[in-house]
Amino acid sequence: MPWAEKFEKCSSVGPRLWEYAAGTLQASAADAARIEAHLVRCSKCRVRLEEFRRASAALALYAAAPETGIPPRAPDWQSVHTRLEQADPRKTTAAAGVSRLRAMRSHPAFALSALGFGLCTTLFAASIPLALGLHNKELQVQNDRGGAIVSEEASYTPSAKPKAPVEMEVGSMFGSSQGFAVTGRAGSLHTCPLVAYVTNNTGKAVTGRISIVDAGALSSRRYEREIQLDAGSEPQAVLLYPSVSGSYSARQQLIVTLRGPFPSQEETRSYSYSDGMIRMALIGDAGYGRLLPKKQVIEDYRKVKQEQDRVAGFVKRQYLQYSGSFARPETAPDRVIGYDGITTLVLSEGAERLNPAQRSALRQWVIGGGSVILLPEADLDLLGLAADTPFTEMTSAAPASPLIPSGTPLRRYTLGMGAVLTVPIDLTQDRFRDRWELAYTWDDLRTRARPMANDIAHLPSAWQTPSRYGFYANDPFRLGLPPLTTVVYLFTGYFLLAIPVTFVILKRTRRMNWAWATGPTLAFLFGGAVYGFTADLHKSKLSRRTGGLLISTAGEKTARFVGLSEIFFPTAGSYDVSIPYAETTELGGDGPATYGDRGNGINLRSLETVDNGMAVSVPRLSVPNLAFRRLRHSQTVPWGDGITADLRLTDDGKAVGTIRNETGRTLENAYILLPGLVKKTDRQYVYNTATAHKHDLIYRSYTRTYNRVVKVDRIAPGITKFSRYTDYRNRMSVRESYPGFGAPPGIASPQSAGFYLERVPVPVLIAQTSGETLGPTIGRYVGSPYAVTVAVTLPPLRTAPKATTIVNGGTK
Amino acid sequence: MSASLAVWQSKDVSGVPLAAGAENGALLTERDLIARSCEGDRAAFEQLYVLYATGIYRCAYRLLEDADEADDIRQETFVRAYQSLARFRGEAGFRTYLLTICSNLCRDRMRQRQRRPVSSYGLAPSEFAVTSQTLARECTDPLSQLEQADQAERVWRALHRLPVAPREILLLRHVEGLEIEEIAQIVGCTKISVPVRLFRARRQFKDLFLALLREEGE
Repeated sequence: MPWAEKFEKCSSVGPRLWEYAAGTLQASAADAARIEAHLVRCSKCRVRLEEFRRASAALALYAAAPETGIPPRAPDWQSVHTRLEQADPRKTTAAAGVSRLRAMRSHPAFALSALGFGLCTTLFAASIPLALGLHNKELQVQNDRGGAIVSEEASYTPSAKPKAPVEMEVGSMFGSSQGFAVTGRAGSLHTCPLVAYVTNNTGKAVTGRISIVDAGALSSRRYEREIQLDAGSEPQAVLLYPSVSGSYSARQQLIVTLRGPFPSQEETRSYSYSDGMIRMALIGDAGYGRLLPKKQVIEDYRKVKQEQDRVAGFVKRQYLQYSGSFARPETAPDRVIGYDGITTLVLSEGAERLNPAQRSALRQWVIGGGSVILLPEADLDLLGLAADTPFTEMTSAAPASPLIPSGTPLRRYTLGMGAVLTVPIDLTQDRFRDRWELAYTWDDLRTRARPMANDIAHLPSAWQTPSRYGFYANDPFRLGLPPLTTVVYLFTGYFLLAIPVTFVILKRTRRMNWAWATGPTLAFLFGGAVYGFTADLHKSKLSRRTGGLLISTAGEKTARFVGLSEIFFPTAGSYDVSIPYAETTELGGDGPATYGDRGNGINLRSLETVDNGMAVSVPRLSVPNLAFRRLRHSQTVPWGDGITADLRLTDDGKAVGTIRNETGRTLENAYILLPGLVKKTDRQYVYNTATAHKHDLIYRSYTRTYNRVVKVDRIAPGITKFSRYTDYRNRMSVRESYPGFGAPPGIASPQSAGFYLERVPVPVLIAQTSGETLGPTIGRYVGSPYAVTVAVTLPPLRTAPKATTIVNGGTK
Repeated sequence: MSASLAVWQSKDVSGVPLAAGAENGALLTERDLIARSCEGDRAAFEQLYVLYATGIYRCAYRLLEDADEADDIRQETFVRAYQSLARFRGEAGFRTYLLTICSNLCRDRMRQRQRRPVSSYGLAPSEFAVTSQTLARECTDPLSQLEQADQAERVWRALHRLPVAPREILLLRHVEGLEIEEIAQIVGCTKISVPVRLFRARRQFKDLFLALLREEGE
């Protein structure tokens, strides 16, 4: 037997010592022999074995008397039985009836009183229509589609439970037919839109407070919102936007508690993430599952395809995998952040009931890169689009959209960075759900409604560290930190130069006793220099910087800002960080901007936010001395009277126009992207190997379309006129040219921002501005004046230019 | 040992006729009782309750260390178990199923405690007197009675000092006598990680137990 096998190591014997000591080790004779051999050799393990033996024997003794240390408490079946009676949905079944009768037999007093109560209630209820003269009218049961809580698959019925003074039911704002799931969490977002249905049975108006705690494994988030509960027993829908942790742990839970001058209500909800998933959502009256074929249809289709795969020898694949969520108009998000988890939103019949706040949020979401499909009953007016808005006709739907007859007019409207597609067929009708092609039809329509840019909240650049280039590149918070090279020179000069040289000089001159004077003098000089370099740090103040993306469209009086702020706290304490108009406030992740202030990892991962219905703030942010904190926020901010423009192209390739900037902001480094009508043709000759003759070369051409760029530089408030030659850029150059969307010119980007604009259908103004009036208002602003990237879509060009073709680098 | 305790400690009783479930002279198995409960037979579920209520209460108490809360958890466990009985597929034992629910509820309760900490934890001295008495009944020799009662009290205190996660896993394995697969299901981790956690829990327990011994000068 080799030595290594004969003698085991402590690390392999250790985990088995307990069983060995307790005599429960299930091992072969050889294994046992090896352990014993190890024990003979290793005194540490022998000691350990003895300790384990004592501990296991004691535990075994304890296990032998399982009631040890436990105060006796007799089982109380009656209380369980009472609760089951209250909650049992199977009351009407025969078996349950038998069971209940048995229970009644054992409690005759209860049975008699229940019978009497039931009889009285029935007689009283029956007497009401008789007294009111309604007995001849047919009792009509209405399907209250207008109610906030009725749905086809949700079985919430307020009368099912005995009425508590205040009742609460919590669900996802965009419910899924598969059950509760977070829809707002996608990509970089950490907000989970919820809706709480609160019923006030107290008969008077009361004030309550809903708190939501995310008990995630990696973080602790708390969201609070005060609510006013009107008198009345109708459920009142409260829309909530809590921030959740970014962990993918299997056990993720939200604990929702309602407190007030009434018994508290608490609900625990599990949730899951859906990163990278195509998520379609429907707002209207159609109900759950209307975007998907019926379950049986999907199953049948999968069986057929999987059988085909099996025959063809493919690995088992899944088909028709996508998610369809649903919200009633009454509980659709009234903040833009509520829509950010959705890839494409479908509006159908009933969407006209969306209130102004919901419509405004929806419009802002589309402007920021959202995608909407309008079914016949939904109107353009929902998104604030006029009937005469220019559109692109897309008539050829088949065969990519199998359920839409060929030639059906589909219209695509551009609204800001987003897109709106009108479809004249109501695809939520039940008959379509019998067809598996429904999935592919939605797939095609989703492609046609693809926005110009992705939803801005999903752009990594929106959450990127505020621009670090410029004057304060090395010390953005102006803490007065000395440059590293200076510190190195100082230490090198003192330890390697001043001290040795002084020593040598004193020794050579035989004045070593002077060292009593030169030593302290040099030390004082060194200390003074170090203090001089760090003195500014003591004077540093509470400061902040903000960066991100600000997106709007021409004439719009609001803009959406998605950004990240960093705050420097010189002294420890609890700070009130308010962010005007913030729809959500989340923790920024770890990164270079935390400047090493990671603490134990816990401080940076807990956040308490309070939502007052208008904005989400952080009223108590506890920090230690010299702390940095990062907060993400999404805001819909006032934008003055917005930006309007009048642009046209001249025949000689000049872009001429006027921009009216009524936002009150100065826009720096401005560019305008114009729709590209230029066709670039690359010619290639492919050698024909079959004939091998020069004249048999095959000619091929490639055509691509590019955006054109006009550089305007500075757009101050007021009117700016310009006349510039346009420049041709390809898609990727857009990415490289605009700070905020990627790396600033000539500066290496700290991280790659994977964003580029598709071919723009309308002109887009891209510029930079300061983040001073955006983000938190705490402390002084020290950010770069170019930290925020502005993107505004402008009206179409007044006159369509002639198509120009560049052939082999020249213009034709 | 009572009938319910006997059932609680046996690992799989799904097919074993239970005296408590006798009806019309025939003995009912746990499986029968579950099937009947699924059909709405409250009496059958009551028999399951009688069988398992004490064990669930003990398990909850050991984790929460509060008799009132443990009683609440027991009640909640059975209500939830009944409501979701249709989803119980019988792959694991009914006891494991109950323990899983109980364990989840206890964790929720502890999480709430963290947010609203109570002033003190632990067992009141009067409650602990039960320990000694219980053990004392089992032994005949007065000296060994005292020694064993002391030892059990020491174990309880060592367990008491353990963090919740290792305590839970240690109790499930050594007191409830569950298999690795069952523990993995209850704790919500993989089967492979259970032995590792168990090893760490044992080591922690051993250290605490020996520390207690040293404190007492043994």
